[in-house]
Amino acid sequence: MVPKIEHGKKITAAVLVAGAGIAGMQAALDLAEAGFKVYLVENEEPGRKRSAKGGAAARGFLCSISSKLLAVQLNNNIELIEKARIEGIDGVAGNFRVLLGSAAPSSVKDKAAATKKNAAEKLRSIAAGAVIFAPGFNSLAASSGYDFQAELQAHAEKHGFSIAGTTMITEKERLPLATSRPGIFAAGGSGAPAVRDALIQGSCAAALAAELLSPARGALVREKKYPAEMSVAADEPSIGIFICRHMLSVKKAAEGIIAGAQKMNAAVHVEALPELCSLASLKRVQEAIEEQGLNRVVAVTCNPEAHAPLYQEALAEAGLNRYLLEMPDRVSAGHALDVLRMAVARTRKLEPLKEVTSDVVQSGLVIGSGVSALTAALSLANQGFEIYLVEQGPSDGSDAARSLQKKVAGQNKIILFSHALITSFAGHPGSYVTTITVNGAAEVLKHGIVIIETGQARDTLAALLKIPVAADGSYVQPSALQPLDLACGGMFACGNGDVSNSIIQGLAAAARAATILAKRELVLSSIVAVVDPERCVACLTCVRECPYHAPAISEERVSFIEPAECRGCGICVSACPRRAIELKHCTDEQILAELAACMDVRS
Amino acid sequence: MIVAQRKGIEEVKKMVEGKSRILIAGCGTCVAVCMAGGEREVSILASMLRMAVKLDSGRDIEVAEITMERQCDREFIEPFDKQMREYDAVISTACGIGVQFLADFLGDIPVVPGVNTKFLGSNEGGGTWFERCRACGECVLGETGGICPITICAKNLLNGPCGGTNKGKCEVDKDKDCAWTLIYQRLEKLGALDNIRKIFPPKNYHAQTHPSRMIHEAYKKD
Amino acid sequence: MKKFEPTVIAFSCMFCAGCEPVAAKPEKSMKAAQLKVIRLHCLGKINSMHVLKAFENGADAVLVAGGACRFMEGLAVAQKQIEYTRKLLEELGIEPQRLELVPVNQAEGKTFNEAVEGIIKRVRALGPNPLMKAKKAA
Repeated sequence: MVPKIEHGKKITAAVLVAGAGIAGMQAALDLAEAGFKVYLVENEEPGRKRSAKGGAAARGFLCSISSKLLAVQLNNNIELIEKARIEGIDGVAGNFRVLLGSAAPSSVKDKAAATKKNAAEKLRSIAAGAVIFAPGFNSLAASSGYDFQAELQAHAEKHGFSIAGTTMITEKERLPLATSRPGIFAAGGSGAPAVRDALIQGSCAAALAAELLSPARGALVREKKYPAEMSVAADEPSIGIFICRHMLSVKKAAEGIIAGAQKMNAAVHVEALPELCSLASLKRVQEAIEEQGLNRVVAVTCNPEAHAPLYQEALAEAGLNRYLLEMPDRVSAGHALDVLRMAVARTRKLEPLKEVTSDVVQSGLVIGSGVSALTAALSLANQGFEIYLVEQGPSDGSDAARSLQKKVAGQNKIILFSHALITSFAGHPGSYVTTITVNGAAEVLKHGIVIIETGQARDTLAALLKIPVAADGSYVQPSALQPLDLACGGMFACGNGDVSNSIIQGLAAAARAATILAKRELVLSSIVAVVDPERCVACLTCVRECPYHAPAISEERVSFIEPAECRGCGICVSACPRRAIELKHCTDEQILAELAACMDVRS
Repeated sequence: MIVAQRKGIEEVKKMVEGKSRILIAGCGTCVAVCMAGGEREVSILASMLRMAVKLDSGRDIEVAEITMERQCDREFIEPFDKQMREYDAVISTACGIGVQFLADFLGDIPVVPGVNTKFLGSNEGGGTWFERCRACGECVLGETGGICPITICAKNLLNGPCGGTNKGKCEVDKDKDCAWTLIYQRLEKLGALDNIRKIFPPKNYHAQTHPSRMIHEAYKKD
Repeated sequence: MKKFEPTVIAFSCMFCAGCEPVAAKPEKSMKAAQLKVIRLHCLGKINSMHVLKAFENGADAVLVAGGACRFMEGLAVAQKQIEYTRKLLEELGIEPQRLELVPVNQAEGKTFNEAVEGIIKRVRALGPNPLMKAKKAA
């Protein structure tokens, strides 16, 4: 059990995460998004050894690292401290003082340089409420044969705690990822270095730390400030094209591609950069935006889906609207110019888009009756959020479940509905309305997130909640980098496996959900359908077609689509008989421009 | 609303054979809502016409596209006057009303239809439209519980059902409902079954001559 | 005479198949042929209009690729549009097999490649877009 800090005792709303591997970075990101300052300490230079040898698996791995690392570097509430290590941890849970020293140099050259500095080296002291040890590899060289347990054990011995590991819950209630020293948690040490497990463990550790520190949530974080957005409406498109060098392996081909790109209409600046997914390259792009007066960016990386949010952030930091960015599919040298030609044609037509936000209802709906659902509900309740726990089927009768059920009963922030049936569901991430029937009566629940325990009545629940299901019956994920998130946004899945894994997943889902619940306002996608009231004749086609029932005839007697409700599927746009609806960022003009460019047609 | 359906490309192509500069004029009202002649359908027809002529003869023809709010009001047609007169032929995807208006307006430029006007009907959603009214000019819906025998009955009977009614289905088309069975059931629900006894006299077809016209005294101009 | 390398335009949804269309070892035949990918936010947006334009501009084949729709109905709606468009192509005398909708799965990059392979093979046998032949004949 996570200890509760005595009422009145000081809580430092910051967490020190030791190890910027996948687990550590995920923990850092989840905590920062949930309102806690994070110090992410790494003894190496993160991402230093970036050789791409090893084929698709290696490349995939590096992609995960690079996008998480970039997210960490762009998050203003995470302080990345490189080449440092923990010398000591004083204090108690909620109020630690962690001593950092410089990390042992890894090469002879470094060692020589280090000895010179050593004498003058000061130890840095950091105030943190919790510490997470997350040994993990962030360089490919170290990944094979990496012994997490050994490293964790070394930390444990040095700082006076023992690792609970991931053993089954016994009467003594050892919690996975908690250590014997309250306030110190361990992640990534399960011995299974798979990316998915590391991500989940990172989130799990974040939930544990958050439970401890939740009374002081938000105390040390600052809202990120962006420069005023440049107005580009009146200007001619001025496009900067940035290509990752990894894609241009053959020098001659690379030169040809860059020369070709420079000739494209509105392309003002073309540059090949090493590792476009690194902070250095991102900063170079921002520099170029200012130097060259760019008002649109085309960035070609190996994983546009993972990198897009980060490049959007880079644009915002440089004063450009996030949606003036185009990241085309990966290119192979043979097709690069074609792809670029189409991307540039589209980018010329890109427009700045208004931000779409939703107020967040700071309570959650958890559906399920097993260990994982109970754990998730408890963690969020312990973090201060009101939770509706809906059990559709019979309760789990296992020992582990029973002990959790007792805790649920004692936690007044959880409202339990047993033998309940979900009869209707509406809303969007941050603000949902669910109607359940329990004991013949209907209850209307308002909540900001949903956590679903896997194994629940899949088909009916998925259809009702509009959760996309893949051919094999599994819930569709938005990406492998967020293993518990569901593709529909605002919803998370947990469960399955042995008790230990169920608890880890329940906690991880809670951490993911808290990144939404901790906010007052959630930013949603701006790729939404907008009705032109002048063209609309209220024929009701869009109202009838929308899977989410987003459009409605307003008082002005035309259709209006609430931006927060719109998912951007474009069904209404295609069906509208008057072509009165435009899907932002995916307009007919943009599509036709791409078509014309790819067939070399002068339109 | 008026419900129409697109004509096949072969037929349209024949109507404008030999012309090199063609304008397709769409309408933004009824035909748009029934997905037959709105801006989108105009674009599709234009693409298809260019392709059809090319495949036929290798010729490139010019096909321009415009869409008016309506083609049954001069005010919506007038702004396009000059532009339309630059073409050899106009294909109107409006209903028959619009085609005729446009033809009248343009005079010496041929205007041909791009759609077939089918019926007056309701938009059921999901790409489905049902005929609901035959514009007979003498509405009897008050006596038939709101169900139209002229539209639904295959024989347009005013004093049905006929002897061929079969378990609620029509003898002419057994997939169709018998209108008068529906009327009976509706009147029963309304507690107005007495109406079924009413005998309608034979229909006075002179009441509705064609082409019809209607003049409203309060608004007519001398 | 130069060997006919078909130009295939693929409309794909950015989530289902978008990310790695030529990732999982692009087949040799795919490299030779011209594959152009236009990504949409969701296939629900696709309309006959766009597909016809692609053929009008000279595409030899159009592939629409999507999977378990993140937005529930996008794929089903796209299927209807594609079926309708194939009828329109038939009316024009253009082989409807040049247009295909293939369900794919993001995790299985190979399935997208298989779909492209399939359509390329088929189109090689059919020959270039008839509009191009007509142009030569004129």
